[in-house]
Amino acid sequence: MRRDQLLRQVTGLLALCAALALLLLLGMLLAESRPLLGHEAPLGLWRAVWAPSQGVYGLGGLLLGSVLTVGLGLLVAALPGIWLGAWLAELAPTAAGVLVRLAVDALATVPGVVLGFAGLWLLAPLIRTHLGGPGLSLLAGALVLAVAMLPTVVTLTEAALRAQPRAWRDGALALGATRRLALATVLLPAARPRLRGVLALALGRGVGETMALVMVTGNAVALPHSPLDSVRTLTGNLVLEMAYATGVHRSALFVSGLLLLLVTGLCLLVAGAWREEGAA
Amino acid sequence: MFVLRHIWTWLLLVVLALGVGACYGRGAALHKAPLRIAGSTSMLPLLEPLAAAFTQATGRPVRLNLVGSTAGLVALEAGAADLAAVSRALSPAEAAWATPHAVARDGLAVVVHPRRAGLRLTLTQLQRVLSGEIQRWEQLAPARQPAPQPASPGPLRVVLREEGSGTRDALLDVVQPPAIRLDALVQGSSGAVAATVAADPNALGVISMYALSSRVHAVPVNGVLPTAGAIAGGRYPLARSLYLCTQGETAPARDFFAFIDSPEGRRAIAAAGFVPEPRPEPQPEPHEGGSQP
Repeated sequence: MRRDQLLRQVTGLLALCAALALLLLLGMLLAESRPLLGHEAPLGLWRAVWAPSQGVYGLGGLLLGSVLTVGLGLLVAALPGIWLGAWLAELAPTAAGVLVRLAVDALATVPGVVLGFAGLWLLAPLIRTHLGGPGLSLLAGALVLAVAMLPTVVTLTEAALRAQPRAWRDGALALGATRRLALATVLLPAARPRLRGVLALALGRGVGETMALVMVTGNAVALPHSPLDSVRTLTGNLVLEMAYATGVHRSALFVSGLLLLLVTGLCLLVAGAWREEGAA
Repeated sequence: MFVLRHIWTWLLLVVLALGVGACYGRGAALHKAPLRIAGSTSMLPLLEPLAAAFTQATGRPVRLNLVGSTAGLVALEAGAADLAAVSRALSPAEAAWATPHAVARDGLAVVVHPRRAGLRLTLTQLQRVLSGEIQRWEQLAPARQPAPQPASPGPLRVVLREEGSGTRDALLDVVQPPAIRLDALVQGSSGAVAATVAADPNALGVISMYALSSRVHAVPVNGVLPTAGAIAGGRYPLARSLYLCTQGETAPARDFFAFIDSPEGRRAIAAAGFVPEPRPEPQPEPHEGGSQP
């Protein structure tokens, strides 16, 4: 009994530390953002132009760049990811399932820099020679991101399907459905809210991805007119300019960090809400 | 799978710990206080060989911590570094307390894909390329030279360093374009710019001279190639000075400046691909950033 209480207190303290760390982080971001928030009218922040040397700090274009890249990436990763997750949960023979899971886990541990290199040396030249444009582009970024998000989608989809009551599948099979049919008509539709949550989590993962993107998107500040044009993302902008920025420019980078935190936080909240709806 | 992943993590941690331990052990074995340099990443190719030569010559260890000019100045102000390596101009607030010392000159090379070898540019043409007035290779066709290759048609893509970097600032200072085309690709290091150009026959990039390799081709600007001789002689237009900043001079910093002035130091700078600052020793001429504050 007493050991239980001790454990509860210790874990409670650790949880408090984690929450405190987040608060401190938020406080630091806010403090560092102050110079810009004082210098700019709030609406000015949403302009599309990012030109620190002219004192113009519009985050709109960067946000759009992030949203387009991650959106396109998710579009590419969602179907194969969900399909693979469903196959692993319901259809895969044991041996093949173990192998594929191993491969997906291995993919999840590949660092962003390595993905970026692959994109830089393999993907970008292919895009440039076969589709045109500079190669370093929105499309290259989205494809690299799709690879980065795939393990998240696969693993969470499998978990979401396995979390459903066995009776649903057994019932479908008893009515004469094949495993495939049960999956397509009962299990996947029932898991829809959970799967939306999975996609929102993957979105959060993608928005935060940095190194892989900065290497393959070309980072031009102009807004892209096609997927073959270069884009700059919020994270890419941060990692590119942090080393040399001073004064208001530096503060603007902290504001973009704040924006990033808001976007990923929103993704997490939405994902949480959808998953609860799925559990209910 | 999970256990396997953890084994690798632990192995990695052990290796890292051993590595860190080994480095500290070696540092402790040397008696002199280490020289601590913090600052610009783009000065790494200069400072690393220079620091190695310095340690060999004087027995004083050097700790390089290169994460950016701004971070270097912050470390210097806090007393966490003896020298701040800065590859951009100091802001007025920084110039109020930090003293810059020019240690070497660096050329900015305009580079193209080897397939465009033979291209020549004037500063005016470069200005029009950067501003986006010239958007295609045909527009650079040399009027007199029978050199169809470098001007073979295609869209011209510009690759530059990011805003705030010393390489970009120095380029804009010399060329003074009215604006930079917005669709210019941006990479975070000279090496990355060079890699982009090496992969794309339609790209034109501007890099620090140390990042030149056989995979890209340096373009003569106003008829002059970026060579050590041309930069030392002031004939090559795209050059800048690299600075080490001090706030009061510590003993390790004084040693380092003395070494930079010595023939050995100048050899080390040249070997790293940079140009030693011309130092008029006999007369203290009015020259930007002498060795005395």
